[in-house]
Amino acid sequence: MIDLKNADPHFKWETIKKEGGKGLLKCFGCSDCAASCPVRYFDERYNPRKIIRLTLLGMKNEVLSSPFLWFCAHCHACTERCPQGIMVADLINAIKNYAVEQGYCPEAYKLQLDLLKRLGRLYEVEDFDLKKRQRLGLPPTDKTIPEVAKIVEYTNIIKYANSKPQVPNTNQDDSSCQEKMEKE
Amino acid sequence: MKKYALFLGCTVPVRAQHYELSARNVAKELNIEFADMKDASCCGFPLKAVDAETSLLLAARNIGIASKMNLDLITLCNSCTAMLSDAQKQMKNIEYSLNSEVKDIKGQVGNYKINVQTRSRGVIECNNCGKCINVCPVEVDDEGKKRKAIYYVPTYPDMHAIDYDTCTKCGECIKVCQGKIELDHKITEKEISAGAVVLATGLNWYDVSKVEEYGYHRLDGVMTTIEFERAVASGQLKPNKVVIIYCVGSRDSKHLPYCSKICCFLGLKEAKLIKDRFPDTQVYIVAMDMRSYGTFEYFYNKLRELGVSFIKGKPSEVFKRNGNLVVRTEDLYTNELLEIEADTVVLSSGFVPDNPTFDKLGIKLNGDFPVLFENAGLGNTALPRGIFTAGSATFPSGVRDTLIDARKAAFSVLSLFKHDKIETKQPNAQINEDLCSVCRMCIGTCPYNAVSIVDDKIKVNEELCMGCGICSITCPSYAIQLEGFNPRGLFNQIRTLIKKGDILALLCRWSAYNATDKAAYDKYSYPENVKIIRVPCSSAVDPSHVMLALLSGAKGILIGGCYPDACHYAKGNFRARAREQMLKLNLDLLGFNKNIVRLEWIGKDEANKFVEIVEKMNK
Repeated sequence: MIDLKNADPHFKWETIKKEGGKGLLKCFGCSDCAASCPVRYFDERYNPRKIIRLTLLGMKNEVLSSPFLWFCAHCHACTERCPQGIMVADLINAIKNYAVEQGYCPEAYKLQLDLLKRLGRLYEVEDFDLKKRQRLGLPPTDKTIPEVAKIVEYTNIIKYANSKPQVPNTNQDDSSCQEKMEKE
Repeated sequence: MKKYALFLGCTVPVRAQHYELSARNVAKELNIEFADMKDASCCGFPLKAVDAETSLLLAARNIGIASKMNLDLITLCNSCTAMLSDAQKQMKNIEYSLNSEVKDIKGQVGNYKINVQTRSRGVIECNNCGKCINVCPVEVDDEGKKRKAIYYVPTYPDMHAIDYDTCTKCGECIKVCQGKIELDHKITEKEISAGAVVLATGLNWYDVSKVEEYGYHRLDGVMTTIEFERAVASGQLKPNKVVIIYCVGSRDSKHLPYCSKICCFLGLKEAKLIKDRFPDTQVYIVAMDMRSYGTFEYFYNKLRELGVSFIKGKPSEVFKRNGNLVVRTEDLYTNELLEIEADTVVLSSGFVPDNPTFDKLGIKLNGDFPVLFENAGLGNTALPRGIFTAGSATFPSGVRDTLIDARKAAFSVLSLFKHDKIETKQPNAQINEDLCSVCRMCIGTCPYNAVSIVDDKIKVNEELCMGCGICSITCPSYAIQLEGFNPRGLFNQIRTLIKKGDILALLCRWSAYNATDKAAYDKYSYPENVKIIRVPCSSAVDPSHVMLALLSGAKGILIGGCYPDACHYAKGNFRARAREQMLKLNLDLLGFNKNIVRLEWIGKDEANKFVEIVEKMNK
């Protein structure tokens, strides 16, 4: 049950302030995004309309702690079809940004962040790769790009990623789902 | 037995029932039958002393009811007899131009010249025997309905007509015709002079092929409402499973941002059409929202009882699987994904205005209906004063709304010509052609599309101009001025008015300026260093005026406008807000305190708000 006692009235306004969160209030719940979503087709537990609806209601904990928030594949099928012209994928991104700020960063993203900070790329460039490039007639690339580390340190991203959620996790689905995902 | 329509009027049925009774008894003896006139009203005589036109209109309406019943009319009251026969004479002023097209309309209120092109109908005398249809060799596909090149047109007048676009002029119909047919296609042109024009042109369907995900033209079995209706009515289509998709292109920022208001009932009607003919057919209606307002709720209830399934949701796409059409959507009530396999998908689309007619009048609607411009303060500002719309030309509407709207238009015309003279609109934008460099900035900025280029010169359409002053502010060479408002004059006004330490208040004449009037009536006191200048609209203030006031030593500038959505000039106040934001950025860069400029929404009776703001600014 959605208990509006736990609702945070500032949640939607905070989301709108984020990059990409502009169209949130235009949503009239036609479910075109949910019907277009290819992820939804494989896992019905992910539902962009539900995420947007709960955000509008201000159910901060439910939205931010849900692992399904991170299922969006950014295919922009919903953006293409939304009758209200909301950039739905960007809106989900804005909510994700807010989730990280509140300490709900998934482990995978933390690892990616580590890689980026260390190497400047998601993939390590080894001598093997450089040789392969040479053989193919491609110019050599830098093994690491240290400036990325500077940028990452300049922003608050590491602080946010490593912070813990202020509110204890109340989402019951979360633990079971993560276990399930690990097993799979 | 002869039959007459019995017109009773006001007095007879209420105060003189004995009179009616005896009349009915006498008629029975004379072998005359009376038919009651439904909806018959007062004949209009009592209003004759007040307004002759209104009374004539009432009388004409009653005659219309009788003529619809195809009966002559009997009245029992002598006033009614005089009034109705008077109206009968006047009604001969009505002139029909059937099968005609308006080529162009020129002029202005009181003096329109309308060029009408009339195509001959081919059939001149006809008793609707229908023999010509049987012999005609040409078959025509009229949007899904098969007909011949000569066919019955069920409108006024009640007779057949030739479709000259497809007619081969073989002459077979003349041989069997009992009336008179002329095969020559005559086109005649004539000019009509009129004081005012009522547009009752109806509307067009939105092109559903623009909504690509539903596959109109791409997939067989996906059809529009009208195609479906004709295919079912002519017996070509016997569907087993039908999905009707609502709001195709409607309420969509990429297509039609508005709700067309009547398509929900049209869709329900299609569902009823199928259920009446083929009760076993499964019908699904997929709708974002069902808007069956008013008495249409009974219709909606009835269809649910007939077994039509209603699904709440907006379909994402229509595609083919194993030769069947599949509609994919989400059922919002159960929160589950849902797929419907069907053989027929009907796309119920919204409506767009009849743009060509409005174009001929030089009215640019930009795809919107004229009613979207309706404003409580100034009326329907998108149209010049001599032009009125009725029915679906105003906005998609059903029969009831169309009748109300038509009556409104008729009365508007009558009240326009009630006086001998029509006053010109004040103020109007005027162009100083010596200064104008034809940079065309005013054309884009005018909210009413009143500015255009004629013979390489900027011209203002005086009928469309509402006097907001936005063009005069935009003009870089100060070539446009309003009567009573001139941006250059505003500079001089500010220069002479503002002394060091003053507060300048530039107030919209519709709202904020009236608030100062009210402040005086209510005996509020506000600081005397507040200098008030009246402007036509809050958007008729340029940042340079504010800068000049600051240079003259003003310690605060207040721009007062109408509340959002209450602007009298189509979002002028939002323009003012955009300008204010830019101005504040610049002031910040120049080192001023950006908060000395304030844009406030002040209603016309909010004197206390005005005084509060001014006192706060004075501190």
